[in-house]
Amino acid sequence: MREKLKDSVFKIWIGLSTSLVFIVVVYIFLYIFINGAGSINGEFLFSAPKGMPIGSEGGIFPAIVGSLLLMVIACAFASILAISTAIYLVFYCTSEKVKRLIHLIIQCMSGVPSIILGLFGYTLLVLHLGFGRSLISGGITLGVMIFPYIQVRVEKTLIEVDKAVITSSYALGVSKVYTLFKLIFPMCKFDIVSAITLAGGFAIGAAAPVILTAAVIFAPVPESIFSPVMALPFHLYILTGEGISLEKAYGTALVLMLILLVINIISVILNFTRKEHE
Amino acid sequence: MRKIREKIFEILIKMLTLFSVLILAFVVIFIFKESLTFFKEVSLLKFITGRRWNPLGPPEELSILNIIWGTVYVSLVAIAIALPIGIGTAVVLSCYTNRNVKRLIRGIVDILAGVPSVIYGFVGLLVVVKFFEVNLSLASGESVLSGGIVLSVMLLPFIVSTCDESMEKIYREYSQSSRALGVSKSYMIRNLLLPASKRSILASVVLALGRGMGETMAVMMVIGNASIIPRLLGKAQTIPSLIALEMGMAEVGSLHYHALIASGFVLMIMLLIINGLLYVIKNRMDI
Amino acid sequence: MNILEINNLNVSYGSKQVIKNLSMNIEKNKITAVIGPSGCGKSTLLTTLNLMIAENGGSFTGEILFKGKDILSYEIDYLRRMIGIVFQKPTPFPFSIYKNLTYAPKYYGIKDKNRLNEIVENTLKRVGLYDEINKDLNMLATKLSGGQQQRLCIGRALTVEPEILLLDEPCSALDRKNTANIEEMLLELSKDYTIVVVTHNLSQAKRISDYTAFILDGELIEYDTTENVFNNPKDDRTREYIKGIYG
Repeated sequence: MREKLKDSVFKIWIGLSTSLVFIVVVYIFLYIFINGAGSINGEFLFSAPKGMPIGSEGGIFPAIVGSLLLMVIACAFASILAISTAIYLVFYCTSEKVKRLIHLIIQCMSGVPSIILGLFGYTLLVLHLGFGRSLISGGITLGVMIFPYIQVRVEKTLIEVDKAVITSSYALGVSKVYTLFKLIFPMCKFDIVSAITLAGGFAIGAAAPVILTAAVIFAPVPESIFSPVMALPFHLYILTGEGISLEKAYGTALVLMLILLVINIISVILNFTRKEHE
Repeated sequence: MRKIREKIFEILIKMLTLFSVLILAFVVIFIFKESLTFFKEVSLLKFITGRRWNPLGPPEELSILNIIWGTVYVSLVAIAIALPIGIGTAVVLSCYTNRNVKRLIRGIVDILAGVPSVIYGFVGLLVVVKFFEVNLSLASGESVLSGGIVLSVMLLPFIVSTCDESMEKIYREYSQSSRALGVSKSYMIRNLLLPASKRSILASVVLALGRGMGETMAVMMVIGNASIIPRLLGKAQTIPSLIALEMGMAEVGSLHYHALIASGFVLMIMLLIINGLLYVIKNRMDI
Repeated sequence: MNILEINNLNVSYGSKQVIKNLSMNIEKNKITAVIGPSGCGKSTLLTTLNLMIAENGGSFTGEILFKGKDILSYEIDYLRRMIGIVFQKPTPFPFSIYKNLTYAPKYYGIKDKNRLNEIVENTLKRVGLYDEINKDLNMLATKLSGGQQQRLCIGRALTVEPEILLLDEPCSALDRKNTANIEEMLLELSKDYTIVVVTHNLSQAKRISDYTAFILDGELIEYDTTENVFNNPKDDRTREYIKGIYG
């Protein structure tokens, strides 16, 4: 009988836990979609913030542009480094010790809180190198943040290429570089792009690094890589924290979620295309 | 000709890899360097044991004990909430679901992990904090508890995936022999699987602790940002929030500025200790 | 004429020696079969001949002469062109048949569309695939059957115009009909190429090879014309092996 009681309590516990997880996710999405839907219209999406205090009227276009640009720069910066490192570890590095060391370093990097990276970006890029609060400071900082994410996935993709296929290529007398560019990359391109896309999603939602390195409360659409920008997460924070406009805040949150949704859908489509290709 | 191209490519790859790997060193060195400037003025001991954070003075006092405590407290509260839910979900994932449902649940947990922390802070402010203000008629719903609740949602994915991984292995290994003894699944989970998963549960706690302490936005928006001794229902401050909030206003090169960086340094040391712990635990797991 | 001369070859992976003091000569435009039980070093022999052994973590001492010159004195890319290798498991590249066959020629600088088309057509005819694929050169190579894939791989190796073709158990993953196809093809090819086939299928060795080498535990036990080895083995071990599996 004790056993029966314990069994029931146990089952209630695990059932409740799992349901709670579902409920929370659904709740968050519904909350934002329902409350934010009203604010989304052409003006909101395509015009700059107006009003007094600024942001209480008008739109969030510069923030959307700013966020997208930051994401692009971060992805470009991070991908070049991450893909190179993955290529090195899989195709050029022969020492197990070095591999383990580099893996350890990358794991440490993924554990650094984003605010610390922001701090680093602030002291090095904004101040020391004099870039100021700008697209490039924010982009590089975000790039450092997403670098481990991309590297790990690209490395996994490269390792999973059938070794026999690679050997066949070498057996034809073809060079490593040719094999990489003409055989391996075409095989892996979907996975690599998917990883970069998802990392971009990760970058676009991050506020902590951009608070210190790129974002300002109000800025126009950036003119150069050294201009400061508005960013969606930061804008959301300002609208809420300063109590400027709840309505616009909901709208901003919704736009951010929608962009993330699109990014994830793109990634899913890429995965599908890959399966088709095989 | 071709040989040269090969060589150039190889050198390029090696240099880019080297650069990437050095970034971590850069980060650490920079933070350390700028912190040192602070520690010349105020000793490390005083910094982390003193209770007053008052950068605007007078008198200018810069000690972060309350803030360190706040950082840890919020994370502990979050883990206390997330752990039972996470373990329960992990048990369902590893023992009660078929492949398709597993994928669904894992997908949902992944979605949780993908929501940006500002959104959590936003919803937390409007829902959790408001709830406390309305229902418990507190002057302000911003508190350690609010922070803990919001943070717990963010830590759930870590706990679920760490536990699920090892629980799946344990379940697969023992479920058949246990069933052969005529023992129920629920009994087996309660008396065999859970005790056997202790280590990975501990590992997930440590992992979550590390993540929680580094979290900025979500916590910042609901915790009240007061550098006082943290109480469950009172306002508090965490190191990441401190940095995010005050860095913009600190005059570059001032003691305040360096103090903020020094607090980042302290955070990193704390994380280092925690990750060291995680490493030790993982290596004593026979997985 | 001996196109390959192997003298006192020793091959090891780390401290484990896999081939011991092996010496043999491969005659040009003939088919040489290498037989022996699993793990005796047959495959290692092949990968040593085209210098892939180092990439697999092994090393060798001894002398290997290709057309009279030490293989180490050749540029490695050139050597691999000259000594082609096809593996047991077919490895079509995940693109079209056409692209599979133009992959290497393009690397060697052939850009002219007409020439490439010519190479593809000739190769496909050589390996007997030309009629089978119904002119569908853009078909994904991975959609071919196992036997067709293997023939494609052999064809691919031929696109770089090697002089020697090494085949490591090319038919062990295929059924009878495909095996027969490939054996017939090899016989045709031997008019223009030197062929070395590693096989555990003794009937196959008997069917197609001119010479047979029997390797046991890394040592060359017997090497003679196929007829002699099968009908009049000089070594007891050879006789036992042949009887054991064949007889």
